[in-house]
This record gives sequence, C-alpha cells and structure tokens, in this order.
Amino acid sequence: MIFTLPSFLLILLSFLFSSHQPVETDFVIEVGIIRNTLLKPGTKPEHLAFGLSRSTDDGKTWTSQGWPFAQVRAVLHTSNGNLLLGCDHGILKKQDSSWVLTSDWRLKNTTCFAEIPGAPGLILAGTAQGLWVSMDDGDSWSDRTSKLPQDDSRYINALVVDPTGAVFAATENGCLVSFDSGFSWSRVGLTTKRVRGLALHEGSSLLAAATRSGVFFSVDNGASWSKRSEGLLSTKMTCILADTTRDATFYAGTTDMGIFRTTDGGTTWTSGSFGISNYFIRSLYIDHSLTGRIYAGTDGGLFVLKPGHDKWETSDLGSCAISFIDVHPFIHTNNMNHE
Amino acid sequence: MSKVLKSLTFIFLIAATTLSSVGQTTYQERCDSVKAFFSTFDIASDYFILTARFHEGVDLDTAMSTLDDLLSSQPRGDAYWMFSTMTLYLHGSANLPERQKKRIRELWKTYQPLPGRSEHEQVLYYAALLLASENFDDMEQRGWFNGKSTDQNHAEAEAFLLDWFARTTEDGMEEFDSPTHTGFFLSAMLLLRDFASDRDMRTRAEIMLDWLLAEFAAKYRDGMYTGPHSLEFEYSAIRPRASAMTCIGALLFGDVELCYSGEQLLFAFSSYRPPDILRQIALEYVRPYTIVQKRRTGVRYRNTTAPKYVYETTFLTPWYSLGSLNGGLIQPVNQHSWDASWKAPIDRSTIFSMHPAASPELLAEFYPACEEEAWNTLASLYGRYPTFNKYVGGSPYEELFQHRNTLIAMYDIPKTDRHQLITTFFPHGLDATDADSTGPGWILARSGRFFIGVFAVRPYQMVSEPAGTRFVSPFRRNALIVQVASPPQVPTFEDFIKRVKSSKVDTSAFARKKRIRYTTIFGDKLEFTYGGARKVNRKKVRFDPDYLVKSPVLNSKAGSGILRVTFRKDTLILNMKNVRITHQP
Repeated sequence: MIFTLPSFLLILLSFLFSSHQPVETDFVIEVGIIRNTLLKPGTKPEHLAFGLSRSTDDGKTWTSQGWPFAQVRAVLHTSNGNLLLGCDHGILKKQDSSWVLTSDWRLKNTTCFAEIPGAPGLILAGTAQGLWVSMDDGDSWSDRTSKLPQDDSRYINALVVDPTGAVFAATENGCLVSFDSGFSWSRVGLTTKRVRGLALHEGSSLLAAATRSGVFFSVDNGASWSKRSEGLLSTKMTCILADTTRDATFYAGTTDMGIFRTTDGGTTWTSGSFGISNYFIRSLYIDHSLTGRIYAGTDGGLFVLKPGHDKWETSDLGSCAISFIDVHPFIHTNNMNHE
Repeated sequence: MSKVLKSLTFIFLIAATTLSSVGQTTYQERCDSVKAFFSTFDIASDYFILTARFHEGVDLDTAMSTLDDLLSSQPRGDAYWMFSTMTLYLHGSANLPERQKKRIRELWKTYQPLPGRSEHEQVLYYAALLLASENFDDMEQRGWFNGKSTDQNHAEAEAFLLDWFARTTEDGMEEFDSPTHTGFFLSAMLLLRDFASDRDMRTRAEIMLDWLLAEFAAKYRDGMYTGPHSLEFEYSAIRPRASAMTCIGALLFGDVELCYSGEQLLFAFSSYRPPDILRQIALEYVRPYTIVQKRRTGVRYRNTTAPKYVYETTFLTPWYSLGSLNGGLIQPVNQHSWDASWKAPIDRSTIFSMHPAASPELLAEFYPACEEEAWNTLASLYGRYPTFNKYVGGSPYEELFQHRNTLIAMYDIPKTDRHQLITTFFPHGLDATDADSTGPGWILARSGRFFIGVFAVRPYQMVSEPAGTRFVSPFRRNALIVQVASPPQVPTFEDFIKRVKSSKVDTSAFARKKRIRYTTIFGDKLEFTYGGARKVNRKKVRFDPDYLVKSPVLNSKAGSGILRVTFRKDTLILNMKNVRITHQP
C-alpha cells in the first residue's frame, strides 16, 4: 500500500492523538477526598477539598462528584444500588443526578458505613460522636448512640462485619461487637486503646486492630488480643488491610512511617513503602476481583501496588488527602458510559 | 471552630469616632451614626456592608452595581455567606431590585455551604436557613442546595434553634463571653427577632438577645468584656478594647467613644431596644459584686469523660474586674482563662497569665480529625497555636482559685509537654512598678486608680515586647498569686505596697504537696492545693452545680431556662421555657 504524505501525516497524528487519550478501563476507582491543597490556594484548609472523585481511565483523569467542598470520609454502594457519602457535615445520598443531605443537624462527622448482610437497606453509620442506623437504604437516620458505652467508645473509626453478621466497631476506646445489627453492643477488649482500623482475614480467622499504640491480633473474635508489632517503626497506626488472597498477610498504615507488611499474621513486619512519597497513610484498599491491586490513600495522593511488583506507583491526586478508596466494575453502554 | 475575623463576610473594624460627646448621646443617635457610617463606607464590596446602603437608600446605583459583581462571583464563606445574604435580602428589601433578589435565591440553590463545627457558625447557618425557608416563596420543593424540601429545611432549622435555646438557657453556652464572637450570636438573634414568621420564635430570639446582653452588661467595664473568655484572639486579649463587643458596648451604653463594627448593624436597623436595666447594671452598679457561672466546655470527641463544666468567677467594682475559670481545658486554641482588667486611659489595661500548651493530642480532644490531621490543619490555620509565646490558648495543666479580688494560679506541667514555662502579660504604660528583681517575690504596679500585685513563686525574667512586657518563668511546677485593689478598698498605692508586702505568703508545701497558703490584704486566709481543695478561712469552697449563674445582678438555676436580672428594685425575668419576658419595676 502506498501512502501519500497527507494521509501519512493524518495517520501519524491520529496515532499520536490516540496514544494520549485516556483509555477507559473496565473498572472505576473512587476516592474520598478531605483536602486538596491546589483547589483554592489561600483559602481555609478545611475548605480545600472536593468530595468524591472518580476515575474511569486507571487514575489518569478524575472527575469530582458530590458536594464540591464536602470532606468525604466514607463511601458506600449499597446492595440496593444506592450511593452514600459519609461527610463531616452528614450523609449525602445520590438521587437521580443530584445529592440529598439525608441526615439532619445532629448527625455529623461520619467516619464509616457498614451494611448488614441479608438485610438489604439496613445500614450503620459510625461517626465521631456515635452510631446512627438507617432502615431504608440511607433515606433517613435514627440515633443509636445511647446503645454505646458513655466514653470514647462513642467515637467509631471503623465498622467490620464478619460472615455471621457480627459487627465489630473500632473505637477511640477499644473494640465493640454487636450480634443484633447494632441494637446492643458489648466490649471485646483493647479498652483504653485508640483503635483506628480493623481487618478480618477470613481465611485464617485473624482479626487485626490498628491502634495508636501498635497492631494487635485476635484469633478468637476479640475475646483476647496480643500485641504484634515487631518490625514496626511506628506505633501510630491509621488503618489495616487483610490480603485474603495470601495466608496471614496484612498491610498496616501509619501517620509517619508509611506502610508495613506482614505475611505471618503480625509476628514480623517489614516496611512496604517503596515508591510512596507521603508517609501519612490514611486508607488502604485491595481490589480482589478486578485487578488484584492494592491502593494506598495518603495525605499527598493515591498510590497503587500492582500484583507481582514491590514498588508503589503514583496515581496522581498528589495535592489531595485520600480518606477512602473503592474499586468496582465499570459498564460501558452505547458510548453513554454509566455504571 | 473559630475563624480569623478578617476572613469572614462580616467586616470588623475600629474607626475614628464621629460622635465625640461620650455619655451625652441617645441610643437612637448612636444607631443613626452607625447607619450613616456604614451606608457611606468606601469599601462596600461586602453583602453585610451593602445592606446599609440598600436599607438607607444611599447611592443605590453604586450599591446595585457592586452587588451585581458580588452576585456574579463564586460564593464563599458558608454560614457567613448565608447569613449575610439573608440580612441583605430582608433588611435591604425595600430598595433591592427583584432581579437581584432572584439572583440571591438562585445562588441559594447552587452554592452548597457547610454548617461548620463552631456553635456560632451553626447558629448563623440555621437562623439564615429558617428565614430563607420562610421568605423564598418560589423555591421548588427540591430546589434547595441540600436537596431537601422547603418544609424539611424549615423544620430542621427550627428544631436546631429550639434545641440551642433550651441548651443555652438550661445547661449553658459553649462559646460563652467571647469579645470577638458574641456579636455573631447577637446578630443572628436580631434577625430572627425582627423577621421570623412565628411569634414564639421572635420572642425566643429576643429572650436570648436580652440574656446574652445581660451577661455582657454584668461584666462590662469601660468598653471591655472583662473576665475569662471561651473564645478570644490574641489581638483583643492584649488590647481588650479592640473587639466587636467594645463597639457593641459603646453603642448600647454610650459610656465610651463610639467605634464601628459590622456586628452593630443589625442593632441599628432593628426596632429592638435593650432594656434599660442592662445599661444600669453596666454603668451604675457601685457596690463590688461576684458572679459565679457554670459553663459548658467545648464539645469533646476524645477524653470525653473529662469534666463537661467549668466554673467562672468574676469580681467587679466600678474600677476594675478580676475574673477566672477554675481550671482545665475548655478549648485549646482560643481559651483565655483569667484576667484583671481596669478602667484606665491606656488601651491595654489588662494582665493575665497562661501556660502555652500545644500538642496534637490536646487538639484531637476537641476536633474530630486524628491527632496529626488536627495538628497539620490547625497549625496552618492558627499559625501561633504551636508557639511558646502565644497569648491565647487553654492548658490542662493550669488550675485557678479566685476569692473576690485575689487569685492563685497554679501550674503542673508534665515533662513531656513541649512548652515548660508560664507566661504573663503586663502592658506598657503602667504608672508605677515595683519588682523584687527576678523573684521569687512581688511585682507591684499601678495604673490610674488600679493597683495590682503579682507574687511569683518561682524565678522569672521580664522581656520587653512591642505590646507589653512578657513575664516568663521556665519551671514546670509553678504558681502566681494575684492581689488587686483600688480606692476606697485601699487608699493609696503606697498603702497597697505596704499591705501586700506584709501579707503572709506560705509556699513551703508547694514543691512537695503543690499547696499554697496566702492571707489576703483584707485578712482572708486562702489555701489552694493543685488537684485538691480550695479553702477560704479553712472552709472548703464548693461550686454549686445547680446554678448557671449566681450573683446580686444575675441569677439562674440550671435547668430552669429562667434568668432573673436585678438592679436595685427593678427586675427583668427572661423565661425561655414559657417564652415570656417580664419587667417588674
């Protein structure tokens, strides 16, 4: 085939152009952002945020969703197909193309969500001052804080549901468990510890707690705990992640020393921050089903660890503090992309 | 959280006075002066200030053009923006063109303000939301910025305000006695009082207004909101006549030169007239009195089992005030735990001490973010918070004991704290001073008719600074005894020096037991143990949790929702529960 010069240039240009076009992937990455230092230089720090952001091209470009200045700390795609954002000023629910603040003035500083398996529409929301429950997939909320002990246990950092439906709560005063969808709670150890994250490794029945004073493990659903921090260069933990594709493997984030990894149920930890440029780790997420990747949300951007690699790659958003990460399938329909 | 004032939509300023005849003008004349000042104010690119032009009908062409610019730019300021636009919408209504009203309503659909965490921000937010939901007739049911309906927004705003009224009048206020922030609460109450559609809501707002002003009047001296403050900035801590409440005091009571502050505007526009009993308490009460108040601490997210209340003691004479909290942390960044303030020709007529505590852990008690996030965010917002030479901020390592015009301040700072020192502010311009070198011993000073003695229990250094002289004592276990007086309590400064130097100070048990005994110049025997008992003449002092306020001028039982304001034979009863204001002459 003979190319004329103009057609060659056209092909070359279209090749160059297409190579710079973001390639849509089969998955969506969503991140909750609580601060973006680039958004409006000179404005108040708590206003430097842009809520929920979404990428459909493997992190090359991001689009902001939800309220522009909301500080998003939790996101939930409910099993009924609804999307909830847990923000500092309450809970937003996506209805059609807009967002509705479904909570009132009493519900603030949302930190986490949990959906009760087998009970569609029943959602728990942990906050910095208590626990709220929705029976209608986030349309309305009722206060269940009085069911919690009257101390720092009312600050809930994380909620984890095990396969039996037991709900574990990581609080600023130890761990709590509920066997009745949050109607009643009892203590399960680590009292006086500020528990910032919980992770359940279902394969090995290990429950791990990231606290302000190191990492603790329980093999009996929280009845007893042992501190396993050998090799951790910091005890100021922020979050913990169970890699259930590998035996007894966990990742733990800190406020000052990056990420640590254990492959023996916490007996020994090694630094796993190669490639990460911000050592304040705010969130960790593993995408088991789609890519097998691990994501780390830091105080300065999002990082990705691909399977078989030992170096984290940056995924932009370097000006953002990432408090939450989620990855789920992206469905393309007739060029009108939606999920 | 409190904010730096200059970032607010409200404008705060102190301007040269135009009414020089102090004490001879009427309240209405002063209101007229405020309206005239702001309606001709040069920098009018602010919703709040523009309101004056629309309200007064001054230079409307320029006002409309400036407003067009404002309305075409991206809104910012959250609750302050909401409140400012509602103030303009309601008070400027007569001269505000319909197209600009429509534009304001449109912005309320698209701009998504956050309610904020601070008590004053939330009150501004919900006052504005209530009034907007009553006045924006054409708003579609789901047209609001938060996706809620008009009825839902009205119901939520009303529920918040009713809850706040009840909490404040039955259990106390969180951001109490703030020279810089009380103006926001007053402005919100004035707008509700003048424009809420429901009569009960209007009356409740007026009760709250009278209540806040009664607390202010009882501690008002010579342009100053005296005593300890939950929320204060450095500039007004060391210049107690440089706050919004100074301008409001000047407007209400007329005893000092009128200065101007945006927070006065709603008084000037309103038909509200402060009850005269408040002016009488502020200016005419001649016998010394003590006010004891139960106060709510800031909302704690961690260390939630710490005491939820502190007790405030303020002793006032016509010439000076000495006021203090009993100790503990109520707000880490802007707390002002005690001061002595007096009537004097110098601007900075105030003395106070503090431990400049600062740590991520203390911040995280009062802010929901984790320790490092709270520190990183607030250290950049309040650049002075982490510093050792700041002049505002609370410390958990400070305890105070006040008996009338005597105060003992004790500090027990742990080794782990980053700032192991205490600091005291002495203003320049004191008429006479007498210090025992670098202590321990008495530092004695006079300013006009006010005499003060500060006994330094540990050695110290005096450092001269532009604002005043800083006393620094770099010891973890530390204490001060403060004795104040004025004629006729003590006839002359020489007599004061003689009596103070001959008073008995016993610090022999301080190092081991953290205990100090002091016999005041009036013969009362005080004993104070850090973390232990306070005794006057061997009798333990107990704060009464059943009272929100106890004094000859203000009285309120906790839970009652009723404040009795008394001056001579006049009584004003503010009853929030029954929604009633009663005057009993």
